[in-house]
Amino acid sequence: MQVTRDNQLPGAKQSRRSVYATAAMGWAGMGCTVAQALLLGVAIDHLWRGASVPLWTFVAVGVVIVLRAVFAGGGRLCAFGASAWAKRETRRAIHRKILELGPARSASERTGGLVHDAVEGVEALDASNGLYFPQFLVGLSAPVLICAVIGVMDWVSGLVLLLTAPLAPLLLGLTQSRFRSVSTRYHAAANALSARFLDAVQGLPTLKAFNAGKAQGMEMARAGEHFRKETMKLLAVNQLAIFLLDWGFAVGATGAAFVVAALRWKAGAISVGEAVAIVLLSLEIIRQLNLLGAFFFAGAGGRAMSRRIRQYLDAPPAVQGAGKKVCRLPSRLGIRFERVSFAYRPGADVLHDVSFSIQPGETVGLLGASGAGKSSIIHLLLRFADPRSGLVMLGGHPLPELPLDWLRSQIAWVAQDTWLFHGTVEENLRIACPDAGRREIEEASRAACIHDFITSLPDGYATHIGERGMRLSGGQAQRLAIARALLKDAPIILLDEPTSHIDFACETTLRHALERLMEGRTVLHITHRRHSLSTASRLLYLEEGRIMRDECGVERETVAARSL
Amino acid sequence: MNHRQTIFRLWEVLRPLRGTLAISAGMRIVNQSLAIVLIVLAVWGVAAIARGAGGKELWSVALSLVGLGMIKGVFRYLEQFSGHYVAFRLLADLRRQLFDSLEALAPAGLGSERSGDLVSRAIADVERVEVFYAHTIAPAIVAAVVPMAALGALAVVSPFASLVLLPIVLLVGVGIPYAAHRLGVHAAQSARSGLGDIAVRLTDAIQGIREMVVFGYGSRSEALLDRSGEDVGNAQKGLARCSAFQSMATELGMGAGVLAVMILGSREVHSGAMPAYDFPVVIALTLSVFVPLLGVTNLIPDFEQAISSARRLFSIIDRPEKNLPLRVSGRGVKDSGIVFDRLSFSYDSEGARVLDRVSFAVEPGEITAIVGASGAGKSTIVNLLLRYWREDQGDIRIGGVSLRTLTPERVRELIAVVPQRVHIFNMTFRENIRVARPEATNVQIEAAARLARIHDFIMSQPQGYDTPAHEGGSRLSGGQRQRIAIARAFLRDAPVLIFDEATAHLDEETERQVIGSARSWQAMSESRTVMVIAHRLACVRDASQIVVLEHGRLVGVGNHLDLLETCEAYADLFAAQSAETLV
Repeated sequence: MQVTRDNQLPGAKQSRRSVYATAAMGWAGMGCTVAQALLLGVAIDHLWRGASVPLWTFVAVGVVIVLRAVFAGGGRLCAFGASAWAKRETRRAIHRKILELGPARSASERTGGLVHDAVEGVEALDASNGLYFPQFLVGLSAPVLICAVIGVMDWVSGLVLLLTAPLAPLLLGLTQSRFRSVSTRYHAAANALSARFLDAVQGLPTLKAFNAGKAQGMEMARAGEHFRKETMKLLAVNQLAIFLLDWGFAVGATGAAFVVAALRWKAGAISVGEAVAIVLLSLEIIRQLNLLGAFFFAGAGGRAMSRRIRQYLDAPPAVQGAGKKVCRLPSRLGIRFERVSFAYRPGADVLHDVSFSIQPGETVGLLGASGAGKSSIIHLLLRFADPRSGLVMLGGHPLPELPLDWLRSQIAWVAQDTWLFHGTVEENLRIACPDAGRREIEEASRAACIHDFITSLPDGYATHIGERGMRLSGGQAQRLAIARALLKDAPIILLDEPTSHIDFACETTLRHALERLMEGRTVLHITHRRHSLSTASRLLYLEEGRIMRDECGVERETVAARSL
Repeated sequence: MNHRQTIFRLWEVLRPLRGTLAISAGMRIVNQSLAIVLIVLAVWGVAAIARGAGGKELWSVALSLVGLGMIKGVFRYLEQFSGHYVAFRLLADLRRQLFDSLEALAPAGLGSERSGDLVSRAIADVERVEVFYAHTIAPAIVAAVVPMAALGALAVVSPFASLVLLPIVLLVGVGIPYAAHRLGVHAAQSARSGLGDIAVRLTDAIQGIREMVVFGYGSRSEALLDRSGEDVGNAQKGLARCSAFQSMATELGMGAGVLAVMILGSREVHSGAMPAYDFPVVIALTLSVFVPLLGVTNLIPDFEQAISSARRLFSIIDRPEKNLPLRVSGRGVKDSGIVFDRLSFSYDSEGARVLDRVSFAVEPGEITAIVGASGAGKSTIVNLLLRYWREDQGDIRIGGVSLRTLTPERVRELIAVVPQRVHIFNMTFRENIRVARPEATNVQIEAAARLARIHDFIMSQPQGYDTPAHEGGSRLSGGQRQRIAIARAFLRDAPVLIFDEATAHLDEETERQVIGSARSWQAMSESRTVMVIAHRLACVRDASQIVVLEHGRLVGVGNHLDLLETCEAYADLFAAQSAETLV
């Protein structure tokens, strides 16, 4: 049974139980319908003989109807269970995976797509687990089960119908493989069109600036039109399957049932009521198969989505293996890169044999053009990725020996921009230090030159910012990043172009804040502008992934003097 | 836009497709009716045989079943085909309209809303409206028509049964779905908003991954996500209960109908009012009446969602296009000089002035820099120049012609901008640069890339210029994106080139090189004018003219040395930045 074994998502175990429960409800409901048809047959037989229908028949039909209602309702509740837990667990797993892949590997351009998969795509499990899988079990077993019931009445009818009933599922199976390849291709093309549309809309300001917006719109419309025509052509052929299927149902079920019922009555094997019941039962076979067909697309969509999510979840983590506990380490930590080479993808090294070290408490500037490999050094230091060869050490220990959480808690990273999470300003600051008091938060904000701005907001520190709230300017966000770093109070400071957006007015104050932050800590200051390096005792020059020069402070001053 | 206007507007959108949609619904009606005919015919056939009809009748009924089945298949085929046709056409049309209006609005009209949010929502809305039309309306029409037709047919055999079933059909088709909807409306709302929260949390996790990891925020964030997940789960449990209620009530309703017809019918047969051989046919019709109703249980929530989607969509599509010139002048632009004449502007009518009577002239063939702290109004000047907004007072003239008399397209032909934020399209590098000038040759593209110092980088990619910009290699850095934008601007070859804080992400060396290429690009022809909006003074020190803005006012114009002496604001800026250099 292929119900959930392939592309198993988290929570599949709980789901499977509910899928079977839903199917059981479906079988029970089908049993009720069968019973109702048989009871109707009994009533017809009585009437045919000119007798009155016994009361128990009506009572039995009433009971069957109530039971079927109960099973129908129960089926809905079980169907809910079939995906509820799985959806929750899958979303958690996606969240964990995002973190596991980390900044070096996560593709932020694909945010929209991934969020869509995790929200709408995971919701699609409702259809595949709650509707399609149970109906798959019920629908495919329906012909056999119902023919078995008919066989009890009259084994010849049962046997003949059993032989003709598979006609429709068989046709379905035959056409499905063909249909599947077409539908995969169709969906791929449709997705590509949607992606292109999104891309064009997001780039509209650019397109418009070049007067290319209208042309792009036309171009897209043309591509869409072409796609539509091609798809219609494909459909014209492939929908023949639907035609055959429909016809197959009619001939295989209704036609055969009628002929069998009529001939067996003529042969005296069954009563009139039984003959009518056989025709009505064939209706139930069709209904069950039709339901299967109706859920087929939802099910296929859900399965494709599970596959995609599974694929995402199966991506290997960015780094493997980490120490379990912290060995004894000095309170001030030094950093050491030993012959580190690194590539994001095989064969394209971005760092070549990089070696340098930073003593505890030392401030070192790392200077390099854009694309020189500065962010790769940050990624390696925070262990978002591991080097291809060589070693990165912290406090004398290679990074893989240290617990990941601990390692990252030792480094405060002040970047060019900072992400503001959905929530209040205060919550956003407290992210850096969950148990910081209000006073500490305000102190850090003051030092980062952002307190006055925050208090000028409508709700002060309780103002909502982030995705759905208001937005901050680049400079404000950057100051918030500095406040966060101050709150984090880590022994190592990573300054990543920390003042690129800051206004001149605030720059002096801010430099003091930064200096306070850097005091007594190990600092790596990364920048592409030499003049923003203030108190570095040493300068490293990174060029095309290689350390080209390692200058001490004295030399540096002469360089600074020269540049004046 | 109220309910009725929205529906009216939707109906208008559907105009070119109404015929096809009607055909699709018609085919579906025939298909579903034939399904009922087939089953009734089979039951009738059995009854007829039982009454003593011969083998000839048996086989003619059997053949009719096969033949009708085939016809039914044909109609099913046509229904599907026309339904898909409507769906595809509608999707394409709506997207087209949405894109055109977004195009007209961008970027000013999109500025107030969160553009990413707006765009993705609009795209989802398009799909929802499409699904509603292509896959919901026709079944709904059929669900109304076919049961009524079946009841009519039943009335011929047994008016009484038909009369009994009518209220039950209405109950199952209208009453119960409506009640279920009312019961579930609150849960549906909270499920939707919970899903919205989940989207926000996940966006936070992806976009804020750095902060997540570095601050160890992951487990806390996961707990928040799970709480949203639990909320959604609880709401959906409520919805599942509603749906369970709905299907129970529906089953009971249909069952009651069957039981009632069974009891009444058998009494009629017994009393002789109806022949016994009609009873099976009445039962078969009764069972069939409800089938078309079952396909549309979610109609009301689908409808409400489609309406709110449509309303959002039309609020974008029907937004009037602003900023069109009042009258178009036929006068040619005589050179690439720009005059800003007592320009005043504020983004909203009550808001503070972002520009306050700013006047200066940009001489053709020169490099002019505009400097000032952020918030001084530098970028606003660019926005006005590009006609994304329109000045409240004053005028901008380019080559002696007022921008008010030029179409926005004409303005954009004259001016190329390297923006602060660069969008890289999901295309090859070549296509990404070609955006600026569709007819450009490969040689021209490469020349522009060389000038923008991005050629070597592109050549280092696996397929050179044909590498998709989003794949291959590591992701583009801020500097690389900027340089692609610069290459676009060079390729555009407009008389006026504006760098809108475009070099902030570049390192000193590249910045110098790019400014150098801008200079040589400008020197290639006397008619070329360059405007550099800058935050740092180092790169604009030797501009022929520097314009200093402070709080929306012009506080100094001149070259570097003049300004150092005459303009206090400029001297302060310079002092602040050189202090930085000297520390």
